[in-house]
Amino acid sequence: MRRSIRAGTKQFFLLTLSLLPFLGAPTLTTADPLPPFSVAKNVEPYRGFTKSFTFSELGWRQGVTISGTSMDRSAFFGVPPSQMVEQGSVMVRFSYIPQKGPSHTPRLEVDINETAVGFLPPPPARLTSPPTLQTATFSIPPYLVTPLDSLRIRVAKDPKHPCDTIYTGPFIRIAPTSTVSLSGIRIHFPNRLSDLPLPFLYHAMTGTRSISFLMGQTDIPILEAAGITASWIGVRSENIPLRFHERTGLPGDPRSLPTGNLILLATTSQTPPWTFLPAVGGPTLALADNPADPYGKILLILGRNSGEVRTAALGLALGQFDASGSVATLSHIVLPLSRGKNDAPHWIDTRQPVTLGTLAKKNSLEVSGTGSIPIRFSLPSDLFVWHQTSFPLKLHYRTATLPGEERSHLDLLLNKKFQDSIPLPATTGKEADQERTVFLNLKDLTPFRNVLRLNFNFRSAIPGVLSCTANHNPRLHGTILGDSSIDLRAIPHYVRLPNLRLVPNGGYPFTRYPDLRGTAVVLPDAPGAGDIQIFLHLMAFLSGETGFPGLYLSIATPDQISAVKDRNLILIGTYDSNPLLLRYGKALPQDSPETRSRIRLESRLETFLRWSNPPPAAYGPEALAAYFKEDRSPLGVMEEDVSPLAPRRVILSLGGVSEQSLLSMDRILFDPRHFSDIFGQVSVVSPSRIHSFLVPEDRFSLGHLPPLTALTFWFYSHPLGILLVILALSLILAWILSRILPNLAARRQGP
Amino acid sequence: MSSKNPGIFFPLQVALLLAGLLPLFFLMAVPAKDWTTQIWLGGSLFLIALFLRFAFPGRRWMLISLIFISITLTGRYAWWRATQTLGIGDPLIHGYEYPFIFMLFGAELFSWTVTVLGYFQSLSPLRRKAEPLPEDSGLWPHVDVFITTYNEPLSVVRPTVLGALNMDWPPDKMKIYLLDDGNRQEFRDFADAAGVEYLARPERRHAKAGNLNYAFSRSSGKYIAIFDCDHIPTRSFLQTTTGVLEKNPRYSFVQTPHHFYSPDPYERNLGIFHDIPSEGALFYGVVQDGNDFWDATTFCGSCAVLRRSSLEEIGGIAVDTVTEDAHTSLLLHRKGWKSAYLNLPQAAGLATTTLSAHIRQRIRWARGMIQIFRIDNPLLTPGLGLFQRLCYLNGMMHFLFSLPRMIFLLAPLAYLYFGIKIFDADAYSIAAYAFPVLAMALLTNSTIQGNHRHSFWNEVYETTLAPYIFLPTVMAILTPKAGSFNVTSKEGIIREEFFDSRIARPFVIFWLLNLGGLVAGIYRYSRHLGDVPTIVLTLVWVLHNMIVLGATLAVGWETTQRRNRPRIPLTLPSRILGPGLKVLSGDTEDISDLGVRLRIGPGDSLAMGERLLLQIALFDNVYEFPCEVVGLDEFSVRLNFLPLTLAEERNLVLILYGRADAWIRVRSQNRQDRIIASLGRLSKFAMLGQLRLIRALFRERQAS
Repeated sequence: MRRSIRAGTKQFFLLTLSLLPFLGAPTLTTADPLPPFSVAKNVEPYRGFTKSFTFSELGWRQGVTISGTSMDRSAFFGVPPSQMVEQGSVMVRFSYIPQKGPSHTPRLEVDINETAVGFLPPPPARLTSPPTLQTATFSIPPYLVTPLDSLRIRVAKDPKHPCDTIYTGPFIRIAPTSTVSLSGIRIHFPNRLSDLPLPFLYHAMTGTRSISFLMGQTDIPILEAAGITASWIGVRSENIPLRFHERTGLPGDPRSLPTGNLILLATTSQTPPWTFLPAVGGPTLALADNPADPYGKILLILGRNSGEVRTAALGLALGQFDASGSVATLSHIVLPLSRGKNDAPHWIDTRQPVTLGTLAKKNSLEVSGTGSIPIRFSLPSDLFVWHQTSFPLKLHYRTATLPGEERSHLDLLLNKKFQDSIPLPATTGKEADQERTVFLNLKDLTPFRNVLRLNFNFRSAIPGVLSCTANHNPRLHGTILGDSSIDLRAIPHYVRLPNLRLVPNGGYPFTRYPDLRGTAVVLPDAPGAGDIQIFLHLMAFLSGETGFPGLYLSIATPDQISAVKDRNLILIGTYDSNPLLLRYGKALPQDSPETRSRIRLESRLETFLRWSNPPPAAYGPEALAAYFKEDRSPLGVMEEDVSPLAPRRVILSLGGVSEQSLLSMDRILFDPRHFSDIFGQVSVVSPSRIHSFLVPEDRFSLGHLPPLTALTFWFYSHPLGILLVILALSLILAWILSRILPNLAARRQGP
Repeated sequence: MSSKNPGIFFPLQVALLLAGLLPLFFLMAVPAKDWTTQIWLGGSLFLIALFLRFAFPGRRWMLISLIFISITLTGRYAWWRATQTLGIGDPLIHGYEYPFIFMLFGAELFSWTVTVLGYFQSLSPLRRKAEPLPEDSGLWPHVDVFITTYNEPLSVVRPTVLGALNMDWPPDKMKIYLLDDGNRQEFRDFADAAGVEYLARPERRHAKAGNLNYAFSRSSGKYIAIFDCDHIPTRSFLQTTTGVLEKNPRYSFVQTPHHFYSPDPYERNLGIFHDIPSEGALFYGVVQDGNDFWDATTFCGSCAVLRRSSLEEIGGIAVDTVTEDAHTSLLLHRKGWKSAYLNLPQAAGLATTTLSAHIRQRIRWARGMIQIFRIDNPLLTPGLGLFQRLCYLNGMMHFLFSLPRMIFLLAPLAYLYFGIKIFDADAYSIAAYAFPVLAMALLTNSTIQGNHRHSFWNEVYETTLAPYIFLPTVMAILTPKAGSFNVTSKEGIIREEFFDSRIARPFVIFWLLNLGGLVAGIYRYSRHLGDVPTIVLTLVWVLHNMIVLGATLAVGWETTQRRNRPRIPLTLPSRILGPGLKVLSGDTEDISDLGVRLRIGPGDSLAMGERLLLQIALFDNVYEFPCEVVGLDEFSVRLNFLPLTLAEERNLVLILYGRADAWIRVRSQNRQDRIIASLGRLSKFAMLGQLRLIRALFRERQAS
């Protein structure tokens, strides 16, 4: 996230330079002449914009509660460079919480970009219960607003009395319905391919980004082109929330196109004779103004035939086009060598120790005073983190503590689980380097997204009264040096499939080859908007996880499945439009004898004998059948099964009860809040949440385990095996001993 | 042991055995997915074991497979406890909770170790048979018989000396020594009258061991038979025991069980004499036989025959500890001497009368065994075989039970009172792992111990001693050389029932604390203070503690003991010769030192105070005793002996205690253990004990 913000900032900076005259800044003389641009005079009605974000949208879903232990909260919002803010305000709804005991109420300061815009009014003399909701509105000076803005609410310390005690309990609650409102004008800027992925993605912006696709026709190469384009967006999106919209068929009148930014994929034969279209002499990429919206852009991905459209999309994804102008015709593209197993740019390569310097920017590995360094990393989803061992973290760090102060320590947390605490010895003025190897619990790793947090906790020998000012003592300093490393080499790659949990966590097994070489999507013969939107979203998601576009993605229709049967398949559609869903799916979203026979309810004998661990009753097949029985009108089902078409392949079915429900599934499935609800083999998507179930069926494994681990895991997975071996060995050993002991006894009594 | 007899192992079988153990150890470390899987696994194995137990009773392989299943389940629990539940690195565990977590874990570790060592020790009880002596009694060896006394009354010592005189052994090859450390004239006179040697030391260093060594240096027989002053031998004692030593010249000693013809405090105070096996039955019925298999029989200080030459090699009886007997056998084994245990009661004695006397005796044992542990640690001391080391280790570790036992009695209270975590796991998992382990250990021990120890009684015995032997064992660990010998009092009359509140005080405190825990638990449950499964689990634990403590309290209630010589039930044909040549025939019902009860048909006319001559037939002899009628009813008459001559007294001892089979049938009467029934019986005693306590507390308040 941080990286994405920085990247965006850099791009913005270049743009801002070009826009400086319009921002009323002093004229700059630059060496390069600025490219020509114009503001269309006849489009005044569209020019203004107004937008507002609730605090909930800024990430404070439950609002903010300020207390003695949490006195400083920040959130971020952004404005794209195509918009210029002229007015802004922040409206805070808050209520004071009655306190017990004496204290003074601190003042709360509201900052925009570290500049105070106002203070919340003090509490009334008598607090009522329930507390009354107050409102305070502060205007934001437009010059404060930049593309990335911080909103900070904090306790303003009285500089004369920095150590005044403050309630430790919560004393003010700020409602999530508080808003930041901005209004201003939109700016037209030139069509430059080099600006891509602007204007489609702008990272500093808040909220879901809508990406609209227009297609001339939905034949397979064009759908593949759309998928590749979506995966290019996914790679560049860095996990910001996206939503895809799709429309098939192009209107004759360009002014009836949708407003906003569009991506258009079509062959020359499919496009109406629009004047703004460039001449197409091969695979072509172009950026043009949206005739329906002068502040919107259209990314044109064109070709003389659909194959050329696909080539153009590949060129876009690979960046192999001339970005200097607004139109680029691709003469040829060079496909990179296919990526190996787990060779995704975003994933840690576990074949060698990974230095922390490659996982985080250098300046993010430092703290002054007590502070926390988060290190985020993604693991290949097939790392086998089941067994109870540890992996080494070689830490190389440099600290400056106070002389004679031995109480400082460095705490390590992996995914919020405490790992270790390293005492930091006193240093005498100079910084001291230390090396230490710490062992982290393997079971605290998650299959994909992980955060290692290194918390420098400095103590100062200053007496308690003054210590409140010492937190930011500049002499206290901690740096994690970039050559510190995590070593995951010893951890085997082994995974049991199907397992839906790995889909939201890394997109496994579809991303096992990050260029989607091993993945094919089966769409209905005539895919509707629901099918295509969920498809595009999935492509963007998978590539977002890997950081590599799905260049080798393959799409098939249900009757062409034999061509892609060796791949992991993703079936998308409704049960009417995609017959394969009925053929390979098991959990049809309704209660019928058919469904019940398909999901193979547990037999009591099997549960009793425990050949394998039965799923918890609340998530087993019985629970699934019961779920369908209660009429909950699910939107659809996501299900992963062993592919009957090829060994060691899965089929992921995304089946909606209707085209409309597919649109809703799209919204829920890709919401990170629901990711933890996806596991097992069947996830039933309902309008508000996801229910997952473990349906015992055949599994297969990918990867290898060392023999002893494999044996342990086998016994772990087969409790009956433990029982039988214990029993058999006990009987055999007893038999042997009962043969030996009488001989020994005879010897004892003999001469 | 294996190093000494390499030939007796079949290498293939041993290799198979070891190869089979490895996977078992491996399976101990395979985790269960969740608690349901573990309870399924443990429960299934337990049920299978239960099936084996009842489908193949008495089979050796059945018993050993039960042992393996129990060890494997215990190992799984131990591994899980050690790796998952100690809260290491768990930020939710407070620093002050670790001592509690580790104390409980330590106590459990101790009990696992003792359980496994116990299985191993009693894996294959030897059940040795007596060896015949040569036909020609002229070839029988010379035996010195040592009877040690210090402060016991002559009435206790007399039958022992007379019983020794009664032993069937060539008189010229047997010399009886009365070793009186009390140096009493009365004893000297009796010895002269009875015709036995009397030895009294000028000083009394090293107590009993010194006393024996003093006599040792003043005697010369090939073997030495040693009796405590109350252990009356049967006539067959020497013939039964010396055969083993004669046959095996490298055998140093042969030990026989200590049989008690009077009830021990548990049996008397609970009124269960002969209903359940007595406290010592386990040791002499199973453990010593098991020890004998590994050539690790413990010398128990009495009812044993030792080879003089072996004792000479170690410089006589060991004097460094207060349990000179066990230490002596350790030293003998170290020198490569072998030993034998003959599980035939060939002598009988008096059990301790009161609980306090019993506790004092056990304090001495515990202290002595710990002293040996410190002075000649069986794991380190040279000369022992591996299996001997393990047997001795178990014998000594057993006496460390006091702290773990008290921890088990108090641990749940830490949670119920203060909410302190005593393990870092959810209650379901603890229950899923622990309950099958406990059930399996109960089943296995019940199968091993059968009619020698009933289930759950072990806890009562240990609980009774735990608070008392704790400090002595700690002291013995710290200063093994200090401490003196105290003699166990074996005789006494308790004229009135009383609650020995002094001795029961610690149990009252434990009981009240657990009662408080029960209240606290119910309060926690009703107010939802804490995790409900944990509350329920600890409550079950507290209830179990209260049953054990209740039974212990019941033992603390000393019931009356009217006779100071116990009656022995014995049916022998007899006749009464009254004045006027009145002859009545009947059978004896019971006999004691003081009198006899006779079953005599109705219509016989006898008067109170009438003096008669009683004839009792035993084998082909008829013995006569002058008597007086002291009680009459429809079917029986009670006679008291008039003052007897020494010869008559010797005959009485022969009839009462001297029969070769006197004690064998009594022992075999014990019932087989039934786990649930045993728990039920214990609960009944627990109710009784708690009622008695409440009554006593109430009375005390009224009195004050």
